Amino acid sequence: MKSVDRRAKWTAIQGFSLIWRSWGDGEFVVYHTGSGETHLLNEVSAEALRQLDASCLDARELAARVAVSLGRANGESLEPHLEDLLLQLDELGLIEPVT
Amino acid sequence: MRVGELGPAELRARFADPGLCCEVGPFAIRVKTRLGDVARHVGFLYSQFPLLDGETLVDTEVCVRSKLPGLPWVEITADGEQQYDWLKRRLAVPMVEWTLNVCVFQRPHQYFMLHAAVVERDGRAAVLTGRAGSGKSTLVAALVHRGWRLLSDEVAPVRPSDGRILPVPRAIGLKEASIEAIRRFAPQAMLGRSWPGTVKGTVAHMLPPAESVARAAEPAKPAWLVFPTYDPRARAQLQPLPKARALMRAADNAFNYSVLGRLGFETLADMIDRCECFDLRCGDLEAAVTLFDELR
Repeated sequence: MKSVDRRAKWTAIQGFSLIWRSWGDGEFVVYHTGSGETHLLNEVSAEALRQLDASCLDARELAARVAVSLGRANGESLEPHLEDLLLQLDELGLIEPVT
Repeated sequence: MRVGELGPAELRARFADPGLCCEVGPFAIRVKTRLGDVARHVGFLYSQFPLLDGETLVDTEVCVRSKLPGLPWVEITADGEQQYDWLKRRLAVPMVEWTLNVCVFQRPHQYFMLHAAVVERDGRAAVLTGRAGSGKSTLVAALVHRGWRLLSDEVAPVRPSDGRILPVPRAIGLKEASIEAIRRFAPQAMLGRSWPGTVKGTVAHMLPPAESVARAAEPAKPAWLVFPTYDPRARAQLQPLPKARALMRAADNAFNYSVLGRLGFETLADMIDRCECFDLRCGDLEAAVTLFDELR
């Protein structure tokens, strides 16, 4: 089973835009101008991708930022979930590791 | 002048050469054939549409030719490309309609082309999208007999500049049990003959109401996006659908979503902005039509 390198930093795929739409019900769609794919994201996934579109972050930093942004008490409980999410977003071609 | 105003001999002569040209909403088509039975039935399906000059530049020209004189086999071409070869002549008419669907009504990439049936009331359009067999054609065939205007049975061309849907009010293709269901629901419906033995079973076409054809230049704003599912055991119910999910499902039902790229996404998202979105499960046509009557 694949696991994410906790020290690795990630960012949204460079050189392309993410076009967002949402309707206030906790779900988001995002269109990736590079792949031409559209993705349906929940609130946590959407916020994580937004953060990675703005900065290079590792899993712990990302969890902390998402927690603050969504008004959650702390990022630690989010971290395992976000590690899985990083792998999924990588597979979808939405993010890449920073080398 | 309308196609139906031509006498039988003139209709047949037009089909033979240069081909019958007519205007179907924003599109112009030409159907060319020397086969009298094919000309008669296709002429019936387009009888209410404006006739165009034979030399008109058309979006697609469909030709039906006999393979060998005296034998019941034909070929169908679209713009010179073969679509069907050694096709049974008795299937020529439904296959002309399918060829027109594929070659004319799914191709124009200046529009966002959603696979949908569309009706309109008071300037607001209900867009029924979903896969074949979901019941959208049956439902619109019923709705147009209850005060809704037919915009389209097969495709919703959405204009990206203003989000309006252009009418393509062709005959409605009904299949199998839907044919009898519409005969019962609306005995006044004008249905052509039934064509058994197609890949989709028996098919019959219901003529569009004359008023819908007369108003084919009037686009409409989408107001409701509905995903019907035919379920004979279900109590008819419109279930609100989250808009993000509606967008993903509608994208799956578009003919050119990926071709249009970002424009396709933004056109569809703008449409979702304007629409209430619903899942509809129903088996009872009367109950489903009542739900649409209650939409405000």
